[in-house]
Amino acid sequence: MGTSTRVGRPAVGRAEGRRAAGGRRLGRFAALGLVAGLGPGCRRGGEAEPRVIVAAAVSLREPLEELGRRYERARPGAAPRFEWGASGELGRRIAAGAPAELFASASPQALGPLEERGELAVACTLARGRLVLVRRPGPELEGLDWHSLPRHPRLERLAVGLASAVPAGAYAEETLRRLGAYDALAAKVVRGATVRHVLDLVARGEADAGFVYATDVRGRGDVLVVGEAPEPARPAVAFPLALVGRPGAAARDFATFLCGPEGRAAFTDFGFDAP
Amino acid sequence: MSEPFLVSLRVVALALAFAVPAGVGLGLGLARGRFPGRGLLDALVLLPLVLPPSVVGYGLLLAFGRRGPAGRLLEALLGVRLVYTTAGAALAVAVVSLPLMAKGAEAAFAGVDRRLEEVARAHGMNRARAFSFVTLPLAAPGLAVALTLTALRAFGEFGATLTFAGYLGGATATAPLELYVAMQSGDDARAGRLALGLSLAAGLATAAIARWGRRRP
Repeated sequence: MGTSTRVGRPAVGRAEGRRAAGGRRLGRFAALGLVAGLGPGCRRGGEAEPRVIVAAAVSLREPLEELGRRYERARPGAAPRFEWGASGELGRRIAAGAPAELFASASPQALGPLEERGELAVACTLARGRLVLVRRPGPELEGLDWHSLPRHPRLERLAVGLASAVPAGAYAEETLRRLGAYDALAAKVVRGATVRHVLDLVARGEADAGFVYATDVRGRGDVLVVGEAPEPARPAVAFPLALVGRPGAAARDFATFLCGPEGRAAFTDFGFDAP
Repeated sequence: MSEPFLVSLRVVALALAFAVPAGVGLGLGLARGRFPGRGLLDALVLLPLVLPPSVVGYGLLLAFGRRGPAGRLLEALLGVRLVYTTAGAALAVAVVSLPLMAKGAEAAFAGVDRRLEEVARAHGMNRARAFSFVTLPLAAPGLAVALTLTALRAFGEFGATLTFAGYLGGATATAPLELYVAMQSGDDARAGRLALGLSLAAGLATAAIARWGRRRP
């Protein structure tokens, strides 16, 4: 007992010394997680209103950050906090008890298991997207498109999101299977941890081509957009927003804002399609 | 299940083939050498051990990636690419584990009484023979400890490998990387098996080292 306190104390002291202000905020979130774990009924007991935590697909980063800023201007002190990641992984973290009240996913499939258990309810579809094939610039990849993909002699590595965690990877695999091209490409596939990681691999030239959303490549000169999959094989990409558990009033209000006309308009401003 | 462990073995063997000779050379230089910049070299050798593995991996990616200066040179001259290859994973592992070999070797050589070597020289041994038959055997226990620590660190490497070499099954997917990806994919059964396998291997290794340490006089 005496030993354990002696061992424990310096570790806490060191952590506090390293990040003085950040540690306090971290502690508050940890406490929030603890309270949230006790049950939805006593989630909101504190004097200061806790920030709304939104788990969100990294592809939605630009419009959601913009909407978060606008929401904060309209309601000072209500700045939502975002946790970015691959939707499949975010969904599993929420299932394991991560304290998010809203979940903006890149695919309805990532909501599936949680929705079936009644742990979340879809609020609306925020936007729709388009899956595109991108490639690194370079004359040797001239003529690369969805049809020539399995046969292109200079395609050595194809970046695809880890399908079990990254919806863009799952959409890409599904599309390639429909085109009958997946088996010929499987040996060339390298995996990205998120859709932005896939983009980074192509931009650095470590992969020759990859699959991302059209909105991920906006304003980037270091990759070339080849285009969307040919029509019957094209996947329907939707970004649903879900309420997790029994969210508080602040979270419900932010969800209403995101699903409302201003939210919708921001997504189309950033190149997404209207739902 | 066993493939990630085979990849680990390949990566570690390749990494040690570089890190052990380089570490012994650096250790000898640091223990015996009196040259300008010795202090700087000493600090540089320790750096990969102190830096977060993500910094090491990112630095390697900037230098040895396809767009990096060293990466470009390697590809143009030898046609070698390092990202997503076993050689790349081995490079990351070698850089991260080299400090343990170098500092361990430095301590091992510093502990050898140089007068014994001088006695051997006085009896007619040349420098190379005195080193191989006097210095090296005396430094051997310390070198063995350094080698063990280096190998164990190499098996456990995760961050620099993932940041630099990336995840590719059969090539860079060592057991620690495979565990991380299994966890990210929600495959808890596989992640659990890998964690158990890694823990067992680490437990056996530390138990063997403790036993071997007791047996020594």
